[in-house]
Amino acid sequence: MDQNPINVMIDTGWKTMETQEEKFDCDSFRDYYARRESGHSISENENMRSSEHVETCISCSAFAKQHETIIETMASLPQFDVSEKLTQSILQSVYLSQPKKADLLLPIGAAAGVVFFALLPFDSIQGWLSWGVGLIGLCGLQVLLKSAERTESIS
Amino acid sequence: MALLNFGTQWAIRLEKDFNLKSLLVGDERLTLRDLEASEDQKLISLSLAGNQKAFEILLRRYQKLVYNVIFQMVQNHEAAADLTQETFLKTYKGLATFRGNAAFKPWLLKIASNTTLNYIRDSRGKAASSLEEMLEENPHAEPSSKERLEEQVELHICQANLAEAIASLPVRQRQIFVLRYQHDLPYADIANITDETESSIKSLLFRIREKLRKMLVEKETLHS
Repeated sequence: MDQNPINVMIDTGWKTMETQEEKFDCDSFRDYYARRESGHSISENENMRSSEHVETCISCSAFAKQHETIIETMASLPQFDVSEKLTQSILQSVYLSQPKKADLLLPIGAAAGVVFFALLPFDSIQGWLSWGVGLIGLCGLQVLLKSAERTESIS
Repeated sequence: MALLNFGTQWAIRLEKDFNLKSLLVGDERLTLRDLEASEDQKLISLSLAGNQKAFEILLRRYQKLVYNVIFQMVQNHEAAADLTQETFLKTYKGLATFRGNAAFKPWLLKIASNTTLNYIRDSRGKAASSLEEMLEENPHAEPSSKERLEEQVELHICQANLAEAIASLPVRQRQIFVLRYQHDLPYADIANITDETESSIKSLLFRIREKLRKMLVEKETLHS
């Protein structure tokens, strides 16, 4: 038996360190991992000891790898495209939910038109006709614009 | 008939021209391309000013994200489509109440989340379908990676098992998990969407992962 005090101190010191190392077992690693992943602060010493442990422990290294695999697989899960039909349907519902200024303007404009025509003294049938042609032209343009709106929303 | 077609095409061109010319923001004149590259805030301002094209760009930018988050919560395509529509309609109507300095994405996802949770509460959503069914229902869905066939098959099995395990989680846990690991949202945004604290989100995410790990190890999907 070595009685040299220095050798005894070194020997005891190693044993103390070994005991500490042994304390960082699989349970300690799982606890460390859970705290780290949950955003708790971890000391540098704990990080070092966990790295040492996971290098030698197959079970804990598999545990950490399984967590990583779940994250990686989750990121690779297929994502679904949205059909153009659904996009158009959403746009249509949004468009319909809008209070339209034109909807209010149309009856006001029509009423003003009727009053204007009623008050106009027309001398001849040609006068009536020229105003009528103008009015029909405007209505036609309105119809074309509406039809264009519909065609665009369908396409 | 031909005349009507010609007239319609002409009117479309006229309308488009008018829309492009009318896209003036302050002193800035914006083309459609500029608009597509614009930040959310600018598009929101334009939408509020009545520009429908701006809202359409916002919709196209976020509809896939919203649809997929909702789908993972309800596991049903028909319901996901209806809820996506409802979400964007609510978003449009609520744009005026949106705080200009906040981020649009978490706000939108919060609306999606609340709308979906209300739907689930009301109807106790349909049962989960497997990944196979999901892929059959939507042929556009493809795994994002293009590796060798064997690896593809292995990945597909792993994905199918994970999707099945996720479908068995409570809806709230599923939502948080999907937002973080499928859509890569920051913890702060998830906390904002779910009205939780960041630390509880982190802790919950680990617990969910551990739960899934145990389920998959039991099924021998994950190698121990």
